[in-house]
Amino acid sequence: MMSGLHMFNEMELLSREMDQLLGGLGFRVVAEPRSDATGFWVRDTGTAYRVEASLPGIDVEKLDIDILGRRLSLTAETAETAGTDAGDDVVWHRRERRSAAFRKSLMLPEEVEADQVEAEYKNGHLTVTLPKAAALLPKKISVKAA
Amino acid sequence: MLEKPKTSNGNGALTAMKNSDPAGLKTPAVDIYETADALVMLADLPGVAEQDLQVEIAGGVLTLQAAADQPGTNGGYYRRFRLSERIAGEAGDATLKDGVLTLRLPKAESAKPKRIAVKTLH
Repeated sequence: MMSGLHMFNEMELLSREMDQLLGGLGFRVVAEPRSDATGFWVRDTGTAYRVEASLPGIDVEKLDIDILGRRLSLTAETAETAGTDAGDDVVWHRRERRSAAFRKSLMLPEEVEADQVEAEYKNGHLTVTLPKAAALLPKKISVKAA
Repeated sequence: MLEKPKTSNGNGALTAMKNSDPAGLKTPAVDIYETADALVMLADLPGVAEQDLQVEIAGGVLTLQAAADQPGTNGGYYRRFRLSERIAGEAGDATLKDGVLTLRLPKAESAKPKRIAVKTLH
């Protein structure tokens, strides 16, 4: 039985704990876009919405991105990691990674051009770019000289 | 020799990150489990490409360091673990796919469970 025999210990740097302490006191300047703990960001670039999600190790074949009107829905699940032989007879030491399916649905502030939506999944980061509906973008009105 | 994803020495992003204080970097979530032969670690490193990742084992300490311009990481990821001597660190292998690092570290021969044959005495 492996209990009692520590295969590893985590070494936390003392300075890192200090940094967290200082951050809690408001010393750290936060210059990031709004996000929640699970790594999800929505930005308005002016001409489009950019939705980003931190989704390492998902099965891209099963990634669903749906847009209906102003509602964007994302569904993803973790891919089976090949070659890691995680059967029933393994001993778990730590389980921190999210294993549940990812499901997110949001209403965008304005309509988008559904057939111009692009999505890119790179290094576990998903970026969905949704161009705003053309009718909503400001258009310059030229003045004809009389 | 620990097989690790290719790191380009002098790569700007990784070098710059390593020169800064690791205290501000994000701690990646990991899954760690043990099979009969090895210790397997899966680490979530979204936004990290091979050339920005360094996995190092020295003096029984495993260090993961990766540069990423991912929002929320403050430059990259950093985490350290102490490995027991039951792990043969220098023989491990690592792969990075879709932002997930899979690290497989074989156990030292002496650490593997062995069946002891019982001799019958007459």
